[in-house]
Amino acid sequence: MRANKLLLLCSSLGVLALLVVAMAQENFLKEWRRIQMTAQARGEELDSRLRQIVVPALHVSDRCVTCHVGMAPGEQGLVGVPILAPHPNVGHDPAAFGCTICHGGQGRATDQADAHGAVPFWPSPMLPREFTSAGCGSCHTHLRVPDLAQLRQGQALIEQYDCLACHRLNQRGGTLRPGGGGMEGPDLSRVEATG
Amino acid sequence: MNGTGAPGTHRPIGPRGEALRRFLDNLRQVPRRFRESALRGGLPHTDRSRSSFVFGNVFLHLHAVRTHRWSLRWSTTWGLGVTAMAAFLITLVTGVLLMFYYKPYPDVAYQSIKDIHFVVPTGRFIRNIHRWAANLMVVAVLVHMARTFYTAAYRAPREYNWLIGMGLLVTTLGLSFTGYLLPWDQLAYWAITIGANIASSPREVTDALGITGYFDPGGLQRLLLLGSDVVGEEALIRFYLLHVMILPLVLTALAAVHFWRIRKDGGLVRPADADRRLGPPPGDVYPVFTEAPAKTYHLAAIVRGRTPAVGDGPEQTLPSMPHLFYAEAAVFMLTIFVCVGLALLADAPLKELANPTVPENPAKAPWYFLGLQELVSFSAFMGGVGIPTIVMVGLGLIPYLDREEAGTGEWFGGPGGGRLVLQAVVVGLGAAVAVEAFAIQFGWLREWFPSIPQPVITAINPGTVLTAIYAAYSLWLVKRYNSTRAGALGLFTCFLCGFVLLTAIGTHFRGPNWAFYWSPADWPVH
Amino acid sequence: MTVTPGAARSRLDPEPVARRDFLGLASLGAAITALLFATIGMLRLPKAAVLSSPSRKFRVTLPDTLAEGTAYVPPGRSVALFRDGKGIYAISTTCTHLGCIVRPGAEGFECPCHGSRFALDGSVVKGPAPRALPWVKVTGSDGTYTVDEEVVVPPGLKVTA
Repeated sequence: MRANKLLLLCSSLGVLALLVVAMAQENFLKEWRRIQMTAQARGEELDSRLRQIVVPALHVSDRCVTCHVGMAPGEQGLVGVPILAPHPNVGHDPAAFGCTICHGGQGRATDQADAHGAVPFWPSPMLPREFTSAGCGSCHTHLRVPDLAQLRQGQALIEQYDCLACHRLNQRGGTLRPGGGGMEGPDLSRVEATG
Repeated sequence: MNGTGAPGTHRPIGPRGEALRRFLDNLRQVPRRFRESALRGGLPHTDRSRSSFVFGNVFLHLHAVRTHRWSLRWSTTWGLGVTAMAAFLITLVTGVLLMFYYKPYPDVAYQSIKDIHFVVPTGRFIRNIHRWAANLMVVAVLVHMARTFYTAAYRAPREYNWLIGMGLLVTTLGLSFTGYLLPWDQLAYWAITIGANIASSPREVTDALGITGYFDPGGLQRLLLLGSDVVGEEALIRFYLLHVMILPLVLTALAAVHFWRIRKDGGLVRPADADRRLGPPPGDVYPVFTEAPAKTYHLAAIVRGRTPAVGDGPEQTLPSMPHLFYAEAAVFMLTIFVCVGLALLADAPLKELANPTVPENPAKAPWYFLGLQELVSFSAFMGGVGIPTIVMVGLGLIPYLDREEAGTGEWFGGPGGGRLVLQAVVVGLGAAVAVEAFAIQFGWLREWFPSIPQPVITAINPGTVLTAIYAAYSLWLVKRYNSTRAGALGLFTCFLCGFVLLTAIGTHFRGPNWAFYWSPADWPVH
Repeated sequence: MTVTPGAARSRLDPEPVARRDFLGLASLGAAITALLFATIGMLRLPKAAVLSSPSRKFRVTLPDTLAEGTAYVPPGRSVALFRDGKGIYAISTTCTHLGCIVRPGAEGFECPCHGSRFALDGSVVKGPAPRALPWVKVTGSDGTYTVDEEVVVPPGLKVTA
């Protein structure tokens, strides 16, 4: 019986230790808590909590604004700290659309690696910064988006080279199949070419 | 209770004064009386109060008041039954917590699991614990079954409890399988698609006989499982219902019967000479019976069969409180430690959202069904219905066919013993490797005779061939050792080895299109 | 019933007083503490950390044509914004009785559920509402304002247009 008491004691202390670790992870060691503390240190009145942009009509629950607090609905942003900066003026209020509709990424995530989406089993990672305007194409498929020369250039190239003849792109195209019934080109939707 | 109070005190005498004094007196006595009413036998400090503590408590009185010293040895059971129960309780508690946030509708289910992982307070931790405890439960149940078999604990009078245990095994696998669908990711969706198709495998036979039109058990099974012809919202809500309500209730009921039967069977199995082998009890053990018993005993029940007190004196028993309870508590805490530790180290998997138009390739069933899936790849009927039925019937018959007594309660007890088991491991693994290697290297009947009728393949395929080899070996053992138990030892060991090997092949060596690859690194990229 | 050979005592002897079992007490204490700690930790889970409804702090652009005394209700929101000579202000349109949404009108607010009426400044004209409609925080300027429904401000506090 002594051995069992010893085993009970050691397992219980082990469980307690692991629970303390879990508690620390949950309450103190999260990335977003540290980032929000940076904002608080700079004098911003901010309570430490998760934040999200919810747009039910678009099935969007984007938690990017937990770290990018400057872009949260109603917040002003903090110039000087990149992650806390306000959203640049792009003609759309992020609070009305969410973030992932234009930028891609995993909106429901709350840590950087998962949220930016370049992780296994997430098919739409965030667009690289220089290609952000490709995100406009997810809604503006046929309408011209003003003042975005690069986007127009990309769309022109797709038309010029008739990519959609063989490749499917978001359920369009891919009608030409070499040899009739053979393999068409890979579906480009997964390569994040939008529009 | 007279009204005068302690001598020398001035108390108002009279009806009102007396009632008030009694009232205050009662109020003062509340803590003591509360303790006494809750613990009517008192704290368990003497053997009598220890008995009363166990006997008088609704949860504890599933235990016998006294436990045999042999049952308390670690090497008797390795605490596997308690581990399985502990894992179940852990899944129960964490599962209820997950139910606060999980939503059982396609696509929404996936989002809710993402939310549990990312935003629900402690959600990631609880979900991980749930998944690890579920896996641990399946492993513990299987190893517990092996322990029970190898110590011949299924022998009379325990035959029925062995069958209840098989029911618990099936229920555990059912719980794990139904839970598998709930995340609604690619892994879940396609695993259940495979499972549902295995459920319709009787069609292989009814089709060959041409009778599927009027007799379609395969189709019926699949329809009952899915609630539709495809895996969709109906399937999800059925699996949810099974997973959170029906199967847990079934398991609890069967577990209650299982534990009760242990009581009625006289405790855990032990060798006939266990008392002698244990030696004298430790010096501080208070004897149970003595020259002049002065107390009365309840007559609680008349039982057929043995109790710890029949045959030998009860002197080799110890009070369950505290000996058994410390053992159970230790195993329980150890199980929690393992589950929590694993939960901190590894996340429960979650792949992409389920996409019915993009099959996973390879689409794999949960690990405990991968052995079956390997067999199904050769013959759907044999892998899905035939072999499992043979295995279940075989397991169920063991206690009724093995009526010997040699070696009960001993590890690998019976003619042949440990050496036979070792030999059976070699035979079991060797035959399985040989049959699999042949099939992988050369293919099977249909590769050589493309127009061969399906029933031939149903009858002759790696699964049936392996079963036949095992059965032949087992019968040879029966003759060689002149003992059914020897045959059973060999057959069970072969079954275990075959199960392990087939599961390993299904897990590691099968890639896209179920082709054989030496390693996942060799899988073709597209 | 025979006495076990070798047993040091018989049941007729009094039971020995148990020595204090430090290991037993410590192990039980540790186990109970661990389980208690786990239970308290688990109690955190049901309290949602994010709400599934849209944020209660939001930006709004007032139409230029908004007349004084006319309410502007941003679509899907339960506040009414007003502009007058002194500035912009926002009044919550959640009835203080039992939470129905009140309708702004020319003379104030009217609640369809039990008939409460409020003046244009939110004060109660007719019950059963117990309190005035709260004013909520507005910041910003120049047509674009940020409304924070969670922050109540004293009535009369207006932000200059």
